[in-house]
Amino acid sequence: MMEKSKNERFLSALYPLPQSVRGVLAGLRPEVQKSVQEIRLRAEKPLMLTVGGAPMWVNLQGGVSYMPQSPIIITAKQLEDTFLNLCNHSVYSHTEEIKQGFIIMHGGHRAGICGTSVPEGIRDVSSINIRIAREITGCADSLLGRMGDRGVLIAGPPGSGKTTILRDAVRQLSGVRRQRVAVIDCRGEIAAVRLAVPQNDVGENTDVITGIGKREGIEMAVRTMCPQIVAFDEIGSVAEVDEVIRSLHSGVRVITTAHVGREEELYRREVTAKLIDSGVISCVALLSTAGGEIKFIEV
Amino acid sequence: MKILGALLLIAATTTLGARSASRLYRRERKLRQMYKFIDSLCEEIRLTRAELPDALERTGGSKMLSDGVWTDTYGLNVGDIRVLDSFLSALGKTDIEGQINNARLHKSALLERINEATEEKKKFSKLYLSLGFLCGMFAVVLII
Repeated sequence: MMEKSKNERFLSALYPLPQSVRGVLAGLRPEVQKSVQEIRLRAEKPLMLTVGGAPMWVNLQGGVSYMPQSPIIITAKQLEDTFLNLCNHSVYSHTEEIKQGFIIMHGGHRAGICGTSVPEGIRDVSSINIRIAREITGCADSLLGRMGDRGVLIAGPPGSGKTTILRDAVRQLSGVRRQRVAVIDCRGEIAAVRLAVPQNDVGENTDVITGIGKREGIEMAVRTMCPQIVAFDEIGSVAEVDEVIRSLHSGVRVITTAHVGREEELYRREVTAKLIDSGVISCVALLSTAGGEIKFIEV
Repeated sequence: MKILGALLLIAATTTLGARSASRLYRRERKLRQMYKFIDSLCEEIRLTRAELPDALERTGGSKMLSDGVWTDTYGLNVGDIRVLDSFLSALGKTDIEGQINNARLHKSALLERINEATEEKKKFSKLYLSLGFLCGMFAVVLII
């Protein structure tokens, strides 16, 4: 899969937006386009971008500022049209994703959906957050250099690039190192499968399981796909750790991520502490900020 | 010359009658097409959960749209067009249950209209043809 420039990635995420908004965003300065992480739309509120972690507003002339100055107001109708475009005018086809609060877009981007929750999903969508997918080829090089015969935990605060590193690790292990990798992609953040095709490059030897919980997904992958490595995002419960321990007994290595602010929290949080104690992982890659240095902790 | 004129007049009024009769045939045929379109699209969506463009492609709906089947409303009345518009306006906007209910509602409305169109066709198509011919004859008699 051809690697896309950051500008192309940004532009490829604009397709569901109303034409007038799309025109303004496509005309933003290239250096701004490169740094945009999120596009936030709220009913009857100004269009907002997240650039380098900070909120920025776009004005009608195509400029950006840290304060709203003659901003573009998104109407409720425009928001509804954006939602329908995200679903390709087929809400029924995305019900399971919508129930979880997101829609996987073409190009591997993800749109978070907010509104009134009903048993069938979400109605009266009140805000949409389009997260631009980042693919940084080679960002997992140092991590893979330390991967032994056991698994790896990638830990860090939200927005530190855990999933980006995990995705690159999967791509390299599957593509370059010819390992059989199973990805449990519950929220579509790693492979971003849309209509059976991964929108992100996860290598040629990767099987992706979606639409299922992590615990069930690990069990299913180990039973059916005979993987050498199982990868999934955000290990969050002790039950998932137990399943990981069981899968290791099947000879499978695990790469996963966890939300951890500081090193001490690794040992304080029940989930990460149990994972470390179990001996399933040989190394923790601790991130601080996106693109920052990775601290490796041997365990 | 007179005979030619008379024949032309009768032919013209008979054509008018035939056109009116053909509208009735056309309405029934179009309503049946609509019913079949909704039925097969709904089944495709229910069984495969395919996205709308794919579902339309598989059921031949895309071709109908590109051929302008639904934009050519000749023969249909305002109520018929409203049923189709109402179906299309809710298409793809809800979950699967909503889509099935939308199809069911509009199919039953269409079924009533198909029955009505069939009755009308039976009752009036021959009448329009005969009226066209007879009007022509009457005009010829009056003129001569």
